Amino acid sequence: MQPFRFTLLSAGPYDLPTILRGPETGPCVLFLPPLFEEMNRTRRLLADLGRTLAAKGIGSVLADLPGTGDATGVPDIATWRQATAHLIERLAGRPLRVLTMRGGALLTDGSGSEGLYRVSPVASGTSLLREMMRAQAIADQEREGARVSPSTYETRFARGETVALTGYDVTPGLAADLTALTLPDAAVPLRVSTVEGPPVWRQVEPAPAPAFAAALAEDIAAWMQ
Amino acid sequence: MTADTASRADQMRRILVEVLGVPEATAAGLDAASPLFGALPEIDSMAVAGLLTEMEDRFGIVIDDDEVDADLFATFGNLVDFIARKAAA
Repeated sequence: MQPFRFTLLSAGPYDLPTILRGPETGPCVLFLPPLFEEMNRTRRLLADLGRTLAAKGIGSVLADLPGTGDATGVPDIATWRQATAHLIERLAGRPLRVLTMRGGALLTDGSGSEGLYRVSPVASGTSLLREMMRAQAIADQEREGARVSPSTYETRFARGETVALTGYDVTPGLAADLTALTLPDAAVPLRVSTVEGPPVWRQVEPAPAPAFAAALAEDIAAWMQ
Repeated sequence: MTADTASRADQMRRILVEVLGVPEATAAGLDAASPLFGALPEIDSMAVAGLLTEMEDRFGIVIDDDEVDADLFATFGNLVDFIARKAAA
């Protein structure tokens, strides 16, 4: 079996660079990774998870949403939600489940799929934005040698400025959209993962966590039966 | 050391291992007087944000950014005492 296939998947108006793993027909899991920097940190974990699922005969799809990874566009919550809905619609010809990790959970209620599996879902966009501001404040503090309060960035948003937070240009509009974003109630059967593993999304230099990926795959496969 | 403090210290050791990649043996050897910042190369400013947020999640506390300074990470004991104070508040 090929380790993975790369394609441009058309999802409504968007052509999204996508990695497909496992069989091309039959049960399939759409991965919705965390948002912003946490996405990069979980890339390896999701790849390991996709490989392990493939070995169990379960396909997986990992698409770069507009403005992330190799996809064109700018980061925008409404666009991400829309692209996600299109992806689910596009893939729903197969028995489809959606796996969200962290902030990915904010983008869908699972509608159109047969089930939603959430790994460490964030409660709201506010908490995500707060974490990004905190990380940026600590970095700025280190550089400037003086105390920087995360509220500095809120002041700048209020003035209409775009602020670079942990390497991402966050416009006042994106900050407002994030603040308004809460975890949706699931519209389909929901399983919140209780699989224990290291929070690789918090690691500055993520360590490979093959045992975590294997345990997740095990739990997902059992849930899909 | 009360049972609560012991379990908080153990959870904090776990977090240091899982978030920062501190070696298990190093984490197991930490006591209240062990220095952290400057002594553990894994604790730097980049890592602190993730560490604080993970502490909030695991201990069910909210850490105000004004409470975060070098003192907090001076020793392992400082960190565990801080969590105990926050959890009691």
